[in-house]
Amino acid sequence: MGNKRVFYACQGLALNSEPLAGVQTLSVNTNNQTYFVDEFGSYDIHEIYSDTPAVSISFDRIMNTDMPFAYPEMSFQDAIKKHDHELCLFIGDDTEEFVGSGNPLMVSFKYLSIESVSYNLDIDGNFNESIELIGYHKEYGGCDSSGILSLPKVQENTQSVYKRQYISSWSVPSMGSGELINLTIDTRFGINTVQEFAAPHNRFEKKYRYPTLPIVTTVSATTIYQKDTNIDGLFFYTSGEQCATTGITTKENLSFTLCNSGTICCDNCILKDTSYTGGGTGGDNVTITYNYECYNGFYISGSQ
Amino acid sequence: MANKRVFYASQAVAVGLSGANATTVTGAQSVTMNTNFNIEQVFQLGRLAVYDNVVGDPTVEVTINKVLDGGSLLYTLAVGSGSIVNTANKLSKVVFVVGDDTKEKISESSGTTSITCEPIYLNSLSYNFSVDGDFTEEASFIGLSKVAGSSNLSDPGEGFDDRQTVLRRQNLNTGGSTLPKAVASGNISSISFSADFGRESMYKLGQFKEFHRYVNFPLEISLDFEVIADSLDSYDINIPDSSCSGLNLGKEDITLEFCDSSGDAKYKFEFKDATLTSVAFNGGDTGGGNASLTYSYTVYNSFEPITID
Repeated sequence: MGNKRVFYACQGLALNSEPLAGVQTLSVNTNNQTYFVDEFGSYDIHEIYSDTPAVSISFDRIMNTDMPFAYPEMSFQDAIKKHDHELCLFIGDDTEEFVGSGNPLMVSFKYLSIESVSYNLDIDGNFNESIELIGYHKEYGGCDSSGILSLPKVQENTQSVYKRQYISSWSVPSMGSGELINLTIDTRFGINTVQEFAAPHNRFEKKYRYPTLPIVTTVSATTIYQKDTNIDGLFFYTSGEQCATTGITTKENLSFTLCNSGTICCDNCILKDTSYTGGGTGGDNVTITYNYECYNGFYISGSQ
Repeated sequence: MANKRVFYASQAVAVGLSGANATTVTGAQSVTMNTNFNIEQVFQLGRLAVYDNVVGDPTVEVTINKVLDGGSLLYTLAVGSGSIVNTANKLSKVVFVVGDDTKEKISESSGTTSITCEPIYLNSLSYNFSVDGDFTEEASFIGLSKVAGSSNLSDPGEGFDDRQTVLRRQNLNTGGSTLPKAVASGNISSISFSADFGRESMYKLGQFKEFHRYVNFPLEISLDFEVIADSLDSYDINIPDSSCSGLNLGKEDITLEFCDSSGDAKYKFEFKDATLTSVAFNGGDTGGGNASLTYSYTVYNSFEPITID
């Protein structure tokens, strides 16, 4: 009997042949990029043609001990040149407990580029990773189905989902000694595709794509302020003399290490602004948010 | 021989400051302890079964009710002296012991089971003083730590042989108290006040356990006086209709002092800037009961329970 629906238990993902654990949401947008051409002398549309069909896949996942990061561990320079990621979507039966049971349908997306990646680490809830991939190859079948059979099993007796205690250390030089309560890291690669003559559909090889430089990573770190002398880390004045500077620290390298896994690194960061809020008569606490922009410096190091 | 049951004589509770010895509570009437693990389920695409059962923020809540008997208030045992603002960050300790159901005193038990909650935070206070029954204090605590053991406690103090121990209606020292103007000349049949601290946890990245639980200021303390009505209340509402004028309810400082049966002052409760928020006239119906007036006051932040040694 065919499916009546597809819900969370009957769809699964594998990225670069590795099953993705902890996926919470998935969306696939396929754009035909059609255009129409009119002509003199007729109401009828002369022709409808499609340019390069493109697919955009976004998923959110909870970071966990099976797979702390879905984003690959590689240097920044290697990451911006990699346009051959492969994603497989498996759709199984809605009456089975596991997507790999039975005979799942498969859709493969090849030669994908990572368009954006973001992380949200908060004291409430789980640590989340969101990735968007774009590409020009979408094929029914074409997946290595052995990957889906090894989808991570149910966790027993130990907690595997990353929560607030799973960040072991961090380095944010301008931040005071307050307690870190929220971290948001967002990187947009702005992938552009080079069109070429004599190719009605864009080639999917990597050499015809490039990211928009500089690749800016925004980092937002929020702390509970506890009355330390650093306050929000930004004190400045000018002496009035010619050629005097404000003395504000310029570039910083930020890093956030998760327990038994990798480090989220953001180099070449500038503290753009700080925000001191809260402590109002409603009884809430003062928090300070440090907002950084990092240029061409995002990478994951040392993950499993 | 193992217990067949646990009843009042085979259990005892002690309260103290964290890091110090806990004092066995005298006059304890009831203890409840609730432990909540706050489990969250996480599912994932590709599999029907639960992916992980994540323990959220487990909490243990302890509520102790005692009669006022001249011994230290639960408040004093838990956070020491000072107003609720001064003691807002104090950490406490609660030890709950169950002993043999065949012994007359907890200290005589040969095998005891104990639970120690340290640190734990004082989370609410409630006091009742009525013409019927004993004067009572109820305190609730909330925290994250709960350790099982086998320690024992000293026996709670005995009552006096030659005089009344538990405080009752005659033990309100009207001469030493500063009562609100509205009730000062009336026949007070009941006084009650309560404060819910509404503590909220503070967490930080890199640590599962909370690093503090703060009192949610501004803290509202509600204070009610019930008076046997011999007339109607004297408050009228006359809203002015001219500009630059309004209604202004004054503030009063209220002090309630309680003495023991030998006349010694034992407890004092101080409230600053109390404002009358409502007056309710009830009763006197055909059932034959007496009418009463209930004057409700609200105090913000300024409240100090004092044990007078």
